[in-house]
Amino acid sequence: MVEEKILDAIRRGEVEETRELLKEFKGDIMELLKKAVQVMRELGDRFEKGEIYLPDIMMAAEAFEVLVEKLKSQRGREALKPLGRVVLATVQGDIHDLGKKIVATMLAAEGFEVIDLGRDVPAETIVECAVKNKADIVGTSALMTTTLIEQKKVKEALDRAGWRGHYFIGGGATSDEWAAEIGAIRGEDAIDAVRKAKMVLGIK
Amino acid sequence: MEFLDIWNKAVNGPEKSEKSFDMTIYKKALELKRKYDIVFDKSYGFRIDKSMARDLYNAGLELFLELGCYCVSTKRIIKLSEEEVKNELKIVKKTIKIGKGRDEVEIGGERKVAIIGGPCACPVSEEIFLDVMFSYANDIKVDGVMPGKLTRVKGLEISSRTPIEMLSVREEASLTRAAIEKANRPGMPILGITSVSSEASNFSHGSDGLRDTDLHEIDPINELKVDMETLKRILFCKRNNLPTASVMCPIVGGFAGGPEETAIVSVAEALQGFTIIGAHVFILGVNDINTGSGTDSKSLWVSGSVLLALKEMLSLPVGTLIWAAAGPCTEMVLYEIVTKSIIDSACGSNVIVGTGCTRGRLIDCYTGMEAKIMAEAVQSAQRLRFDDVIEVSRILLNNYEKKLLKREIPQPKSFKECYFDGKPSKEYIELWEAFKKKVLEIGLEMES
Repeated sequence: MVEEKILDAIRRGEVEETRELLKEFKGDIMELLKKAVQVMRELGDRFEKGEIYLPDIMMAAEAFEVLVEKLKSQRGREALKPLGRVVLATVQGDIHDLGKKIVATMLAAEGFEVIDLGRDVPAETIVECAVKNKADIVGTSALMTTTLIEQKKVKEALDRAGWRGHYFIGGGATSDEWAAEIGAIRGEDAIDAVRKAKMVLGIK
Repeated sequence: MEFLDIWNKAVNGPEKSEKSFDMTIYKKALELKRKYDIVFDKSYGFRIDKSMARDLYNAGLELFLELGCYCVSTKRIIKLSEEEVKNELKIVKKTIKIGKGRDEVEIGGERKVAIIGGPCACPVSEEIFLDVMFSYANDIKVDGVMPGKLTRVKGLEISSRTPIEMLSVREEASLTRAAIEKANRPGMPILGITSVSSEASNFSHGSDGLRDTDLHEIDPINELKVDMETLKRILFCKRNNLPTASVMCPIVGGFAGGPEETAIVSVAEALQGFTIIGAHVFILGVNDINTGSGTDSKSLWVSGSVLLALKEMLSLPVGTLIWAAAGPCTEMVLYEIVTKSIIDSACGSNVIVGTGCTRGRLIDCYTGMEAKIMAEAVQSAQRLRFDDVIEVSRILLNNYEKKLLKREIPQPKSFKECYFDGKPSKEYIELWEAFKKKVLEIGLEMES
């Protein structure tokens, strides 16, 4: 009963309600987390169909995070090993970060640890963060054709720094041809990016 | 509003994290949607409710007064009092003249709807940039032009925050000026030109670039945000006493939420434009998060409803920018442009800007024909009553919206495939003429 209420509160993005209900929860929190991940996936599907909107997903992700924090506090931070660590940024010169935020929210909901560096981020900052945090994936977004070149610069800088992860690109200006040219993996949209992130890390 | 007043608010206003501001927008818009009973109802087909205009405006005003505008650089909120907003709105002129001499255009009031044609900052190759811009400037039905974005300049890659970016923006301006001179319309106004860097945007201004009589574009950030670059651009335009347009492209399904919430936020963004940005014209380029275009029912409803609300409550110069999913020489793009143009002009848009075909994704897929289509569609809508425009739009939507939502977008033709010796191809003209015959049957009469 409480479990259903918690999942419903997450679905509705009610952070405080989720927090209060978790105080009453006596079951296996790991099992609850697995069900909450399903809820987030379900919301992702509905978002893709245009039935719900970005803020609905963002609020649900916040409520979901309350559950993750609870689990970490109960079982220690090591209890919840992320599926992988992802560094995301919109490239320098581009301030459009809506798509990147959707990807960040979806990845976090799937269990990835996401470091979102924001918009208009220089290549050096992205590389420094990726190396320092031993990121498995680096993803950059470019909406404008004129900022595409920055994605190439990030890839080159990552290679120079000796980083050995998977480089993802996305955004309205990108194409599969561009991804092939610079040696990147392209996410067509947030759902596709999550699917490919799991695939390259061998997660089923 | 004095620039230093805005600056003072940007550095001393209430602090907030960006994430928290984003979430507050949606929650507040949702609350106001319920309070004012703002409803997007598709159950009886596409429609726009004129009687909702006042409530929508009041919801947008309430949202703007409560939330203000977020400065992402200082992480503070620029908040205006109700009195400040009212005072600022009082001093905005009801009409604005742009351009020079016989090419001068007046925007606002009961004047004819102005047509500003161009690729709207979508990518265009350097070797055909002048020809593309000429295709717009050379059409007599087009009143002004909005340049595309160069993909390279002098053969060089354009990298942000470099002198080459500045050079590219100036080159866009000077090539556009060369195009309007070639078309023998030297005073024709140019709308533009922005870049993320204010240095580059401001560098578009000069003897061979944009002049004091052109319409200088300032782009705030989605939704209800500015940054240091926007503030620098505002200062540049204010200090030089330049005519300005605040161009805002809200995303249905984005930070604001669904269509109703996006409409409320869009009204707030118009108020932000006329007050904080200090714009003479507010231009709205609604697009949908899934389709990327502004021609689906939700986006059309948002745009039309907001224009109606602004017309009824403010009567200040407002415009609309067209984002289409399809590209040149396809029947789908004709449907998209005509539907959007007739709805927005009937809802009070003083200027129509476009068309950003292919959602701005493809290089060189923008031609003057799209602007001619906008102009002829607007003319035809002016012969119809408001309710008839909506009825016609409903039929037009039935012809393309399903494909749009399923992302079944036809392959467009490029400029080089559509224009020869400065004139549209026979194929494109015949497609348009056949389309006009087809829509005549549903009551949309366009000049041949």
